[in-house]
Amino acid sequence: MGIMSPIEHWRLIKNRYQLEGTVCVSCEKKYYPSVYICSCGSRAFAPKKLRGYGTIISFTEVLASTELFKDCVPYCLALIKLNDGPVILAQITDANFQDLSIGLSVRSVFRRYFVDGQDGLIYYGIKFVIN
Amino acid sequence: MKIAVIGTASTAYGEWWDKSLRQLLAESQLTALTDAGLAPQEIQAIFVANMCAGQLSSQVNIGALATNILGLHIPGTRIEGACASGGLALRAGIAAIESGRADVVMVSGVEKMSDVSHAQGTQSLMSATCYETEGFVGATFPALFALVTRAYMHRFGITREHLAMVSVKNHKNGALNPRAHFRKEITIQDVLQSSYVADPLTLLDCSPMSDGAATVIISTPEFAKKIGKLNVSIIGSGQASDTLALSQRETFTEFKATQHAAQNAFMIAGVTHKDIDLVEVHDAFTMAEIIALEDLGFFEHGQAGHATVAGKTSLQSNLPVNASGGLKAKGHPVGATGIGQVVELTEQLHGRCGARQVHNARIGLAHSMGGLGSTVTVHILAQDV
Repeated sequence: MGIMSPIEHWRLIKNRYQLEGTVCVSCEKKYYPSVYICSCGSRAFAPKKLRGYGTIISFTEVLASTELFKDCVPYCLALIKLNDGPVILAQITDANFQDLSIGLSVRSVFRRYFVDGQDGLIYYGIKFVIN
Repeated sequence: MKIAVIGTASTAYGEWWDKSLRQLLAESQLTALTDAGLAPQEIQAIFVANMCAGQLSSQVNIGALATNILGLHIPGTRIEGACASGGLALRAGIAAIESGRADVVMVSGVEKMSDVSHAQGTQSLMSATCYETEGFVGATFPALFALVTRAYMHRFGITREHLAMVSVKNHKNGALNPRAHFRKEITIQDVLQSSYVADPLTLLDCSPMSDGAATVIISTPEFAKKIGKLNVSIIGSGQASDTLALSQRETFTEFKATQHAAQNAFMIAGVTHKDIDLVEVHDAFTMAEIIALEDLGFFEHGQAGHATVAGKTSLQSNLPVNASGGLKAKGHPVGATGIGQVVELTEQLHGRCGARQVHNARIGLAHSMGGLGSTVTVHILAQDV
């Protein structure tokens, strides 16, 4: 339970590996990952690779987790406001919980999130480090 | 709106090792029938609230299970909206009666969380959020609420002691509730010193996973009057939604869906906040109760924590919040929770709550929330005069 199908992960590779979001063709508002109808009313979007620089809006240290992540605790999660606009939820890595603060500058890195057992897929994604 | 509540029942909430999902559901359904004085054949439709049975018990299609239990072939429908499933099932039952499709409807809720490990339960509850973005990065429900809590504390300057007071209050009330999962009082120090689940939330800031079931039988006022049970009615109902993912919100310290649902419910009921005598809110976490009281309109943003510490929501106050013990002490069998709130309000309005009875309870409000306020219902009940 909880393991994502490799097919699902394959569909989301550009979001998860390259921080690809979308941009509204009409008003240029950027989204991560995407919406169906822009706040301006347009339904026309183009893919947009977002730059991985941002600041922490809020953060936490997870000490008890789900089946998938229970062996990874403790780890830090943060809501990050990307300089490009959208807000993303991601893990903060290579940092102590005590070093984190609201407003701290962070930048994206490509890291492993979890593994599907001995024979299954390794799921990578975007985490953030202190900038 | 006037939908009579003619029968109620709830199991105790807790870890029921010797009772299955269907046994818990059956117990609440049959006891509710007895409470209403009805034969099974008088029920015309059943709505059942449940979130996790598909994942944890490999059982969906629970609408049919509910009608099977009564030995009937009437319409049975499972309703799901994560932890707001109970509130949603009640909305469905109300709609069936208001549309004229049925006169007497049974609305139940049931959840069986203890057949799997805590980690598996936590995994299952994450399906209430935006799983592909939040579950994927290792978020848990407590972690998402911890993000909200830190943002709220940063904005409004309250401390962990304010949060802890919510848990202390609800445990004090739960100690008076024979159905509660936890019937033990705790102190602020107990909360502050319990282990962190997701900083700054500790174990005692978080509601437990519980097994349990609750049922209400609702009807037209005409039917209720005919059987001499026109005592308590639902007079207002509201529902709203918001983004699944926390990251997609405009604000991280308010839940707009609660605000919209409350506005709708108050408008339909034709009462104001001053008329409300007691409130059952969805305190999945201590922070959730504080934010809910503000979003429902009982306190200004940033003030509900201070109000709690000042005793303004205690059992003895003018606005008792979670006299039942709330999710924190009474327990949180997900699908049952929203229905259990209505059972509590009905019993309070009947004056049947013993040691936790709210003085002069005439109008009550129930708030049921799924995800991080992505699905919210608000119901208002009143004594019939």
